[in-house]
Amino acid sequence: MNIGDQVRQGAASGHVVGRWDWPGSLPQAGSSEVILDVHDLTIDFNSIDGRLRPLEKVSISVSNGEIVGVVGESGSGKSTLSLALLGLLDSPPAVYAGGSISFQGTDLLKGSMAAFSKVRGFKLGMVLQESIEALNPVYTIGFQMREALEVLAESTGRPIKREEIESECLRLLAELCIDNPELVLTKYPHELSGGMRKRVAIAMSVLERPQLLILDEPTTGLDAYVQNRILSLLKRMSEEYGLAMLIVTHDLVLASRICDRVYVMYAGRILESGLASQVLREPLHPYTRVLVSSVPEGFSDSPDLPVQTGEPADIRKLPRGCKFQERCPLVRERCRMEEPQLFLLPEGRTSRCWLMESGIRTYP
Amino acid sequence: MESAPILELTGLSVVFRTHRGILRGLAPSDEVRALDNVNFEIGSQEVFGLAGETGSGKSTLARTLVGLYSPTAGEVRMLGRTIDYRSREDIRYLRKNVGIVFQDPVGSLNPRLRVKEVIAEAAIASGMPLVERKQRVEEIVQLVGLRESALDAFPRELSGGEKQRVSVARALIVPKKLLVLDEPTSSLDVSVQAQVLNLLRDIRRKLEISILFISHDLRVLKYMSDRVGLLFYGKLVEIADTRRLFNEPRHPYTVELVSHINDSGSSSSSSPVEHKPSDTGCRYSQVCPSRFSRCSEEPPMYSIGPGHYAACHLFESEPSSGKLSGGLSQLSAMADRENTSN
Repeated sequence: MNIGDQVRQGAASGHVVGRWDWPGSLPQAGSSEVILDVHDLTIDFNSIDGRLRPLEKVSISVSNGEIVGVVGESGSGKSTLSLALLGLLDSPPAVYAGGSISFQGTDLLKGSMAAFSKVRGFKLGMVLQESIEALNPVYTIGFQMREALEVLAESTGRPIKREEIESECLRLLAELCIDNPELVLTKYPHELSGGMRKRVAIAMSVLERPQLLILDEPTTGLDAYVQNRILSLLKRMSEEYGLAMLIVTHDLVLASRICDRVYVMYAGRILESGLASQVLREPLHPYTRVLVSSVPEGFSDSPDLPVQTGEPADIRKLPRGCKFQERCPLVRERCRMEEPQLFLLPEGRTSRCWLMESGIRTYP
Repeated sequence: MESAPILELTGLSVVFRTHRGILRGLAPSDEVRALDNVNFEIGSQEVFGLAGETGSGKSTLARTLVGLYSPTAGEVRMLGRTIDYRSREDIRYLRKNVGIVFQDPVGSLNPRLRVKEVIAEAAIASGMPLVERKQRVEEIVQLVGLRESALDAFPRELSGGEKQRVSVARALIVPKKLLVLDEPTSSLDVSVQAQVLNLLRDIRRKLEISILFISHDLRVLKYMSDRVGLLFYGKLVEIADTRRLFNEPRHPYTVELVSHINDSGSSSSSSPVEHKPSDTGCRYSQVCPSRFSRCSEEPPMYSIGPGHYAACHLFESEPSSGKLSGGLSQLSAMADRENTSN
């Protein structure tokens, strides 16, 4: 019986042979140490339209073993945030205009951009939205995975044997429910389906045993079935290995299914945050309410969806005051004059809405 | 509201042949059965939802209905007329009655035409006189809720939601009997998706039109359709009234899919298996939790309730609860005959 068969059998029976070990430095799942702490992060783009601000004082935190979601519509700044955290924004035009990104206690914005390259790909993993772009089209999957492991071995100074590399790749692919991993290793990226590519991209990103994984739209464009598989894999990795994740998505159903906490973004700002179960069930910001009520529910004879007119915010022409005012059903005079701060509310929730100024209130 | 169906598909199969190498003329070709013996009908002013995962043949069906692919076997009847795919006139007849909105709003609009030209193009092709055309463009733009200023813009200047509105307007500029929507909202944000879904429901109420709504998103399908059919690798596995299908799914595949939209937290213990179709017998049998010896034979569509059909041997002995609509029971009987003769 070769290693591939062993692994497959193990995966099929639910017991993973030669369990995928993570280096000892990884903390136990459930310990609540903050691994990523972003404070007042502000990004500017110097574009021909003048100085734009896709992120304005964004503060988020992720603890070990936690799955945190960032949800919002297109143009809300979610992808800018994920790229900013990885130090992958093109500069120019992007400028870090303020704030701090503290990863495992080190501020990545102090000093040069080299701080990012030390952790990126090693301790800080990423899965980009377009998994086809994350893979090199002219090399086989196997070549790319081996290369990543060799780089890891070089950087840690721990030599790794050829057979070890081989079995490691196979084991990882089998963990991600890929049938016939030996065959997949010999394929080129274009020969795989979208769902398969996504899983290979996830496998590549966890190859280096990151402590935090940033995923940008991990299941967009995949059908419900494949989506389901990927979600349960991610959840399992977080539970078994205590891997922390930051998932950037526009899909509320996805966020409600997998995330522990969520941040809701609009026009480069956090508008609401809290436990996913609370935020998506009883939203405290009108914007979150709009999002949640837009998810179709019921049958063809159910009433039409309550729809707010208007398109997602355009950061080139943001209004004074609350940025959501134009689409807000509860807009008041004050919202047009002053922008609300992010009010701290009981149970660790926050909401950037004047209605919450004096604590949680039920909506009219 | 019993009237003649708008569209009837009988034993529809679409097979793609792939050839490899320079000796491709000599070598036997590989076959991909994108659609395999599909039977259903769409009634007048009905919204029929078609679900299935990637590769199940949903888009192949959509494209066959506007004459972009030809059936390998089986019959497409549009308003009672059997379409001969070799006849230009028949294809024209098909396209005159079927409008289509494609999944990708960017790729399906000509980037060099202004929005009003995109919309009017089909009207010009149909030979509509200028005066009528202008009026019609105005009407349709109002119907789909497109802002006036968008008419002179190029498609790239519009937002995703607006592009889909343009696609709908273009599909309906010449009045149609059937509108085929191939994943119309899958690239849109939830709030914009809600706007487009409302628009489609509004169109359905205002125009006397039938809709074939194709989506992999069961929530959206449930919300939009009167009846739903489920495809698995080219085979229709279950077909029923929407409420029935979601409340009492019968085919093991449907049961699995419907359970996904109902469970909120996917349990970490269940690691889902790869869906690989079987080459022989029931295509779902390889991953089916309730497979038994008979599954090596291909199951016919069994009638298991009013308007409810499932292609699974589990329901062989089920007493069908009578009162079936004429057309469908005939179709299913035909499918049965065909399968037993195989």
